[in-house]
Formats: sequence, C-alpha cells, structure tokens
Amino acid sequence: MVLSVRLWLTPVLVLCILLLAPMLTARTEDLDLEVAILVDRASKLHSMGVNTTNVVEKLSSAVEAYEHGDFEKAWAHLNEARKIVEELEKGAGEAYSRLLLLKVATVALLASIPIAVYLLLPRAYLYLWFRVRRKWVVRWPPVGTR
Amino acid sequence: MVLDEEVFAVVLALSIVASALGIALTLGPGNPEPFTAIGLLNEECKIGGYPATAVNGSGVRLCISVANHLGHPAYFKVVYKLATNESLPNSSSPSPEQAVMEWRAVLGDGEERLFLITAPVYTLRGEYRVVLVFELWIYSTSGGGWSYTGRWNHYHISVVV
Repeated sequence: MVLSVRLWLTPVLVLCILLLAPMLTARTEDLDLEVAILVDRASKLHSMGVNTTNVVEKLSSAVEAYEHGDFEKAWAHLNEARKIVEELEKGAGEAYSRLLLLKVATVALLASIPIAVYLLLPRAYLYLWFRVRRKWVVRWPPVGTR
Repeated sequence: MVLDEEVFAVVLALSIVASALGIALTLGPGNPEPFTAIGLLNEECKIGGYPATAVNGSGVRLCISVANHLGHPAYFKVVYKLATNESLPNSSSPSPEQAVMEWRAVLGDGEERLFLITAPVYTLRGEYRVVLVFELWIYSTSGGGWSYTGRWNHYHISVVV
C-alpha cells in the first residue's frame, strides 16, 4: 500500500516541480526586469541632478525581500519605489533647470577670475602698497644731502 | 615697489590656467572613468585567511564586496560557480559552468555592498581541487537582460571527502 502511494506520489511531485519551476523563473525574470526598469528611470533622474537615494533604498529592500523568498514584500517595495520615481519625475524638470543654472553660474564665476585678476590685481596691489606706507613721511631732498 | 609687469603676467597666466581647469571639471562628465568592482573577503569581511580545504558537501563562509562607480545607480548580481582550472572565466566571457547560487543588489553611485555568504563546495566531475568563482553581472534593459561585466574573483580549494 505504502509502495503504491509512493508510486503515484512521485510523478505528481515531479509534475508539480516541473509546473512550478517555469512560474518561479518567470517571477524572477519579471522582478529583475521591473527592478531594472526602475533603476534606469532612477539613473535618468540622477543624471538630471535629482537625489535618488530613497529609490535605491526601496529597490534594495525589494531585492533583499526577494532573496529571502518574500515575494509579496518584494513587490510592495517595488510599488513604493515606483511611486517615489513617479513623484521625483514630476519635479525633475525643475531640478534639471537648477542644475543647469548652477553650472552656468559656476562657469561664469570661474571665467571671470582672470578678468578680475587683470582688472583688480594692480589696483588692489597699489591700494595695499599705499595703505601699508600711509604713515611714511617723505622728505625732499633726503636728509644729509641739504 | 610697484607691481612688476613680469610678476603680474605670471599671476594672470596662473589664474587663466586655474579658471580653464575649473571650467573643464565643471562641464566635463561627472565620472570620467566609470567602473565596477568585486572583492573576495574572508568570513570576517577582511582580506586573507581564506579556508584552504572544505569537506565535500559543506559550505564555506565568505564575504563578497561589490562596488558601483558607474556614475549612476545600477542593478547587480554575483553569480557563484564551482569550476576547474579549465573552466575559469576571463574578462570577456564567464565560466561555462552552471550557476550554483546568486546574490542580487541595487547600488547607488559610489555605494558598496557586502554579502556574507555560505558557498556550497563539492567535488566537480571527480576533481578534488576545485575553484570557487564569483562573477559580477549587471542588468541592462537596453542590452536585453543580464550581462557579464568581465569582473570576477576566484580561489582554489581542496575538497576533503
């Protein structure tokens, strides 16, 4: 009796494994693709000067949950990451404009340094030169030559 | 003494060079030399002190370090394979052996992650001297999935039966 149960249970188990294996693989591929798409979107945001630390943290949590076999938690974290990305994308244009403005201001400031040196250095030097010597008394002709 | 013309010219030249350098750094790419890194550490996550032998079918505790310096966030996985000297990976192709285990991580730019792992070790096709191979893979949506980065770590271990 035990032998006959084993006889029909083994093919059933093998069949279950064969049916479940592609499902699990598909689940992994889905998650990988989903994570990668969100990572790509986060990369674009990062290049626009947006802080993507929160997205990376959520995606890391999703991957970690997946590694521990908690698929529901993994997908929950993924959905949260997706929401954060969508919110960040709304304000990305403004962040990009800020980044551009900051770059232009930095370049303008750096480009003005040689001009400032050319125009101001001789004046500043003369100003300091006279300031240091402001208490000096000039006698003419020099003492001893009269 | 008023400002000497030659000294003024030198100061001006220095300011021009400094300004040009600053502008080049501001307008240049954020990360001129992007790279990824994988490191193999012992179970205390330090270099050295790797086990030389392992009982057949047992697990070796190790630490894997993965670093992202690509200039943007990226999705990585470390693939563990048991190989022989003939089936080691190289910088262009991964080891042809079957993957035994995988560990995944999403890393931001400049981030590093340590994986404390237990790698199963067993004889491979009758070989008692096997190689533990850890390959770094990256997911690229444009590249159609996982692709090998060309970075790997390996170390030899003797399997005791």
